[in-house]
Amino acid sequence: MKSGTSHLLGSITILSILILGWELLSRIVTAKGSYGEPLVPGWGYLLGNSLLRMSDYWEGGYGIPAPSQGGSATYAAALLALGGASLVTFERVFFGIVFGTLSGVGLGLLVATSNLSRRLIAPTVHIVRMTPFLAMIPLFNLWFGANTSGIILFVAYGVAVIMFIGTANAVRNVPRVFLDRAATVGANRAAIFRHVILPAIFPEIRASFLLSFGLSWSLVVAGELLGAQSGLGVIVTYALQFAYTGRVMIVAFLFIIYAGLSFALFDAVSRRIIDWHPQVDRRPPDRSLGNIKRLRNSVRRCTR
Amino acid sequence: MTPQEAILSVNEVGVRFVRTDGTPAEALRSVSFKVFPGEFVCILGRSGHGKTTLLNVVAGLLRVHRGEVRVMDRPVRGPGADRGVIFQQDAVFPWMRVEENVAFGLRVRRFSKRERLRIAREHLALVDLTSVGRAWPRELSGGMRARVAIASVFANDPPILLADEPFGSLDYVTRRQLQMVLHDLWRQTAKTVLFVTHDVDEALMLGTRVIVVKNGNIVEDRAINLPTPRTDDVIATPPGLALKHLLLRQIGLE
Repeated sequence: MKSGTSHLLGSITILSILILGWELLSRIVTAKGSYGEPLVPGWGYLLGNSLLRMSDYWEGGYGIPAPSQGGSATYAAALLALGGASLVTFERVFFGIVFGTLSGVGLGLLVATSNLSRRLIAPTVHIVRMTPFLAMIPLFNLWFGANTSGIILFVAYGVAVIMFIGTANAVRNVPRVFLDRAATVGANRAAIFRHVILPAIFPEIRASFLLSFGLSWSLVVAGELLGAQSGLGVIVTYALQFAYTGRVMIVAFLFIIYAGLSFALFDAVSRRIIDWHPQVDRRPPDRSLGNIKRLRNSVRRCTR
Repeated sequence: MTPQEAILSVNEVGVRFVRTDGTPAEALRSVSFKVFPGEFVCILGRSGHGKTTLLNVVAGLLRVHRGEVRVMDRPVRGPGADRGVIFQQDAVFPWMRVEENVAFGLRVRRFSKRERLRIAREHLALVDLTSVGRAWPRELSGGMRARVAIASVFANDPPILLADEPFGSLDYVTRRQLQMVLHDLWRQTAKTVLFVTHDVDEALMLGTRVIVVKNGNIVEDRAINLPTPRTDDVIATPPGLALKHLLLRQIGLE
């Protein structure tokens, strides 16, 4: 308990220093972008001007007039604009993760358990994994269009590659003695798969999933930056055209919050499933330090 | 005496493997022996002389290059529930609770849930683990996990039991306790046991017969006619000590 409190105090202190430091920086660096917006906007400017002007992206409805139709800029319109764009982006991330995980894990299991599919699939996937994700955006744009389904496919592709590698490795890492034991008590292939391979690979799959989870947020923004018509990435694109540093930063903050929340949520849910695992960090949740440590362990497990 | 039917026969079995530098090596040259129901056979030898290979061949986990293994007069083609194995490494599934581990064999053999839990709890009681049935394996000590492995194998009730240095990584006292547990269970169930060990004392303590393996060959095959239970006093008698010296000489000491 005592150390928990001191961790919390430490986190608050560091956060305060960062906030104050930024404010200080904004007063020292007063350079302006090409359209007169400060390059290092202070908190007053961010929460006043930048957040309020998000209402520019509101298209009207719910009785709240849009500035583009002559209404005045309101926080309600700003929050609605951000919320709407967030929902569109959530949808893309969510379905991208679902499709990507299903296909990646499916292919990984197929490759790891059957020789024929290994020869058929593995070389292709290994070439694909060498290709930088972002280099594939133009192709996805051309093939599927810069719309929701195109972006979902792009996120799914990135997630699938990570999950494929993680799954194939995890199956290869299942200790021989577990498979032998199952076979010597009379288990057939299906039973070994269900009772031994699936539970044994879950911790490693979970680690890959946490990695691809973080990645999927980057992929969705990248996808939206290039030519999408809606979503948080589009707000960034517009803001970039007029050098609205403050608006770019607000969307960045949103992404930090969303990624952090989704990460913590998945972590909490999946932790129950691997309660059996000897290496799970069972200390009381301390988000600030624990997550970093767990993430580092996950990465280590994935890259091993 | 009428000739008894062998439950297990190993006929001129040879196993070859390729070393990492590419040179071939023979783990087993041409090994033959028969085991009769109810025997407790200890396979004794030093590390790297083919004991574990021999056990894995009998278990069906390793292919032979020549010869064959027959169990109850049928050739062995792979692992099966008629030969239970206690492994050298910890093979208790960490993702199953202790009683689920013990019931695992019964589960894949489609026993009803009620039936397999009853049998699992019964066997946990036999190894004195009644109170940890719902625990995760990570919460158990190495000795307790070894007990789980024993309970798991007996719960599945195979006529033949194969053990590959199951107590090698345990401390002396725990090892002695588990030897007694295994010995008692063997006497109660009348199973046939093939027990691999590098420890002459362990072989003398448990076996009704000792087979010494050296360089992939059987160099000694001898019944142990010492009275049971084999306390230290029994092994310290002149016939016990004579046997011990013989076995030590055969595995390469003295």
